[in-house]
Amino acid sequence: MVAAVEYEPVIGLEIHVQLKTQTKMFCSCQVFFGDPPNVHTCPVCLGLPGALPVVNARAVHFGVMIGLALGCEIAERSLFHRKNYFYPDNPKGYQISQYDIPLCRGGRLGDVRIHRVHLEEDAAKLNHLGQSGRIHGADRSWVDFNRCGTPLVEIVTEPDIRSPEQAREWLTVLRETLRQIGVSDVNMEEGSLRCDANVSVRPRGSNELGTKTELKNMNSFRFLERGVRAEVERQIGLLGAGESVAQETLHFDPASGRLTPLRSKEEAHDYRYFPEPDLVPLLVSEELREAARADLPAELPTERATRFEHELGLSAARARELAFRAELGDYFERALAGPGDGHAERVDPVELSNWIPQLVERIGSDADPAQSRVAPENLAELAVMVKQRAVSRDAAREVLTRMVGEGGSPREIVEREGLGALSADEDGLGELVDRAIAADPDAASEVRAGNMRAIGPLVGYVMRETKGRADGKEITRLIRERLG
Amino acid sequence: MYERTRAQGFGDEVKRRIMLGTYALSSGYYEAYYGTAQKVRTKISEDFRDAFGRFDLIATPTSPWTAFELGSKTDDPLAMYLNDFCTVPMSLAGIPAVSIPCGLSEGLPVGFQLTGPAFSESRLLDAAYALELAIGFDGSPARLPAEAL
Repeated sequence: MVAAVEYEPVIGLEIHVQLKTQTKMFCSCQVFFGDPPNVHTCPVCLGLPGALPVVNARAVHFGVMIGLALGCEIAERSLFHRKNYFYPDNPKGYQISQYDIPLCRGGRLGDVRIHRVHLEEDAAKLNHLGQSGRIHGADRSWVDFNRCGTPLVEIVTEPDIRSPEQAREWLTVLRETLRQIGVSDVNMEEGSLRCDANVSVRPRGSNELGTKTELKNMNSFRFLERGVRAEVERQIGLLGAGESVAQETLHFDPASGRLTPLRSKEEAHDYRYFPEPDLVPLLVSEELREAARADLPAELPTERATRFEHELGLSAARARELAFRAELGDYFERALAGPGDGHAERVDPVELSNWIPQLVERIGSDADPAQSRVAPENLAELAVMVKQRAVSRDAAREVLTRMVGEGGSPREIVEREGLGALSADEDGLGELVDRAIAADPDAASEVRAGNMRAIGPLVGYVMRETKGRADGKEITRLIRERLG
Repeated sequence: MYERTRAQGFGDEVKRRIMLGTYALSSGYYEAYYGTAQKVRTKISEDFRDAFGRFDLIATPTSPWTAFELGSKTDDPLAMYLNDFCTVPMSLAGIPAVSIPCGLSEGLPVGFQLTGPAFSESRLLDAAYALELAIGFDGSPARLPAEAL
């Protein structure tokens, strides 16, 4: 039997971000959601003959900010093009976008390289009446031009992503970055952040790219991961069966989790790009670039992760976990400032960082720990107590559960509930260890013979007897002392 | 509705130009047509720039012929496009030009065109005004009865 080929997914993302400007990309209509349809329109965004576009300076500012935050090279001179297509969401018959000379090129966010970032305008919103919710089979469709002309930035990555989980995680980092620099609401459900994925697979170890498909309509982080996973599995299935992947665009249906091809008619696009004759080239001066840089926060999420990893010694994964959710990072840093009530001990950052996921697990994965009953200084105190072996790790988990429920200081909870770590002298831990050795002479003699793996049952015995209050390392030390 | 407004609302010449423009921009032909045309335009622009190094303004007829009858060249688009021969180069080069009436040829009006370098509108209008006064052309067509004016 021939060994099955192992396939590796190759994923690139195309992200559209609605910019949080007051007005539209090329006219002075307000950008506002939730108003009655077609109230924010004018000859420019309705595409009436003779109307002339003017570039929104704020949108350029935001575009440059995004480029700088992603480490891109900002073009001193970029061009707008007309991208021609014929569809009811687009009254001009073309979208003003950027083509061969975009605003930003290159760059990187985390472990994914950025290909380009460019400015363009959003289309009108189509609302389809009928069961399908899509244009096919709709009883009727309405067009709301309020959205038409909303400033958009399109971010295109290089195909550097290797798994559906990584796609989701990376998009979270991008969203957090965009949210923190304040250029967009970045809400996937509301459509201010939209993500398409280009997916292909190839035999692991190969450097060539397989045929890719384009996935659309994955309007949540969960759907992105599910959609990409479904497509990776589909492609591997096809290749495994000796068939080939067709280059096509697939629509993700959140209800069924299935991917359906768009009609080929919709897909046969020839955009006939040509330079927008109504706009002069976009020049980004040094002053403009500096103004954008000045509006960036002092530390971006990826920079914070690097600091957590290199200065505080956290693992790369834990550093990202805390830095990429601002509320977790903020809480962690507040706790790091110390217990505050006269305890001069410095909190060990690694020990403390391990308690944040424990806290998140107890308050719900989307909750902000700052809104919980656990004050940062109390979590810091718990970490200090664990580090000092004043409480065992198992008992500390129980203490944290109580802190989430009722708040308060861990020291008080430990005292009140008698959860403090047992010591060898005062609490008869030594006697318990003696009993454990007597109860399992086989294990004891193995340990005596130098097989340290046999120590597990002896430690387990003491842990059970003390209901987790004894410190594992201390028990181990006592056993070795006796059997050494 | 889309199909009907376009089929019935646009005349032959408009449809012809839409088809030509779409074709010239379509993928695979873009470089050959649009790309080449852009290069030719640059050449035209350079030609004018060189000429204005030696001359203040350039004088030409506005059109190679006097007015033809309505519809007489619809079936011969090339002949019709040639009629724009004297005005299109200025548009391509992005420079200003002004046309003033200067006389009659076999009873039909003839235009006199002045072209200047970029941003020379003010000088161009001064020159055109001076010429208009000097030529002293009476714009009233002779064959119209006086009472119609």
